[in-house]
Amino acid sequence: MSDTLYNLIFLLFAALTIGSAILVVSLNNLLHAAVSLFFCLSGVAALFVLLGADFLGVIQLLAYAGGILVLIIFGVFLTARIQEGTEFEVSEKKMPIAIGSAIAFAIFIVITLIVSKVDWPETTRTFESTTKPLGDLLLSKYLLPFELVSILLLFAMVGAAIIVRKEIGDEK
Amino acid sequence: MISLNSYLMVSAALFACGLACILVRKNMVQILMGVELVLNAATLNLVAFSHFNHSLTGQVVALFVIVIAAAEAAVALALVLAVYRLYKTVDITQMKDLKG
Repeated sequence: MSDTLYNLIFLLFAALTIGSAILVVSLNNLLHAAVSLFFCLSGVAALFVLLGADFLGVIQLLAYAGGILVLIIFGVFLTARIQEGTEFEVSEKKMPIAIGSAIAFAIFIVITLIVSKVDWPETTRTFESTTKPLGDLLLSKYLLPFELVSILLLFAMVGAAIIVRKEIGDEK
Repeated sequence: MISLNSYLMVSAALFACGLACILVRKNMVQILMGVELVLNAATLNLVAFSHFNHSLTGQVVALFVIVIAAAEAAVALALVLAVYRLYKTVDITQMKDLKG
C-alpha cells in the first residue's frame, strides 16, 4: 500500500473518531450521543487495523461497539425520564462548562507537547496476522492474567445481577 | 509522515474528550460514555506502541483492557439502574446525601 494512501486513510478515520468524540460531549440528546459514540468506537477499530492489529480491531467491533454500546443504549432507554419537561443535560451555570472544557483542553495540549518532544526510536513496521501469535501468547506467557480475567467476568456477571435484583416487597 | 506522534495525538484528543464528558455532563449514562472514551484512548495508545516497537505485549494488554472495560460497564450500568430505581433520577447533581 502506498504511503500517501495510508496517510489519507489514517486522516479520514482520525477525523471520524475525533469528530464523533466531540459530538458525544456536546450533543444534548442522549440517544444521538450514543450513536456518535458508536461511530467513535468504529473509528478506533479502523485505527487498530491500520496499526496492524487485525484481531484486536475485530474484537473492538464485537465487544465494544456490539456489546458495551448496546449496554449503554439499554441504560439510556431504561432511565429515560418521561414525567418532566425539557431539562438541560449540562450544568445550568456557564462556569462549570468553561472550567471543565478548559481543563480537558489544557491536558490535551500538555500531552501533545510532551509527546512531540520525545525522540521515539525508529523500528521497522510490519503488517502480519496477529491472531495465532496472540493465541500462543495468551496460553503460554499470559496464562495467569487470562484465567484471572475470566474469573473477573464471572464476578462482574454475578455482581451486576445481584445489584439489579428486585427485593421481595419492592413492588408497590 | 504518519508516525507514532500522530497516533498519540489522536489518543490524547480522545482522552481530552472523554475527560470533558465526565466533568461537564450531568446524566450518569453520559458520564459512563466519557469513561468508555478514556478507556479507548488508553487502548489506542497501547496498540500504537505495540506496532511501532514491534512487540505483541501491547496488544495483549489492550485485549485485557477491553475485557475489563466490558465488566466495568456492566457493573456500572447495574449501579445506575439501582440508583434510578431508588431516587427516580439519573441526575448526578442530585446525589448529595451520603446516608442511604
